[in-house]
Amino acid sequence: MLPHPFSRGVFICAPPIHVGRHADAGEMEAARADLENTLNRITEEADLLMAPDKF
Amino acid sequence: MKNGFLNSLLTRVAPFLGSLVIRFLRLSMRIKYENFGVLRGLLKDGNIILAFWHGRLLMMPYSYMGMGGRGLTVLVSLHRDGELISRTVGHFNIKSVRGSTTRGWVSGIKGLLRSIEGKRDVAITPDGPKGPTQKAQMGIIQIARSTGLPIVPVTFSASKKKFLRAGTGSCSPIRSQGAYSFAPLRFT
Repeated sequence: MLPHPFSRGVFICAPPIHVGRHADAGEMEAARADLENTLNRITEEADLLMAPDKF
Repeated sequence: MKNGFLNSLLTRVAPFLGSLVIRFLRLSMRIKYENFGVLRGLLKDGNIILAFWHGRLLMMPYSYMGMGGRGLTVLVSLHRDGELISRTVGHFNIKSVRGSTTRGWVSGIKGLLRSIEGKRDVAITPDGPKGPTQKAQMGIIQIARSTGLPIVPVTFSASKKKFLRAGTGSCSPIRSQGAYSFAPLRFT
């Protein structure tokens, strides 16, 4: 994604995801899914925040 | 011969120009930071693993700069575009190690772990350059597990933007044979 010069921009940071040192396969998969969902959620949120005004 | 020279020149010049474009974009844009107290707080306490989608890569040096981190190392693919990305981020004082889950996994991981031992933060695109786009691979979770570092998800958007390529564009033969000139800007 290439932003246009002179446009507005937003960075969004989400709460951290921790993976235990003894996490088993199931816990690791849960962390992976959590990361994927979180990144998709904040990216969608950022796109919505930056949506050009309709009026 | 001539091509070799031209290529090596472009490999040096394109990343520098790319870094100037990124600096210019940053200076010309009005950018808000949402919830970055989280990142600042974590950086104060120790090291982190920064995670963002490959498609949102371009402005990412600015998600880390000025947040109080001790230095960032990013995992970059062994692909030829990776060389350009690696040199481009170098202009922002960001180190890179080469490798990915599809190629050079071991060298990439070793490099990241060495950086972490040296008390640096690391950045990973969990969907990698080859995609599937916006699907997290397991590699980043394995690194988090073995180091105990928290993963911090970050993203970026702009009010006016272009999506340059489908995220899996790196499979295209044109790309892999290196039509160079705008490669650093070709992160989707």
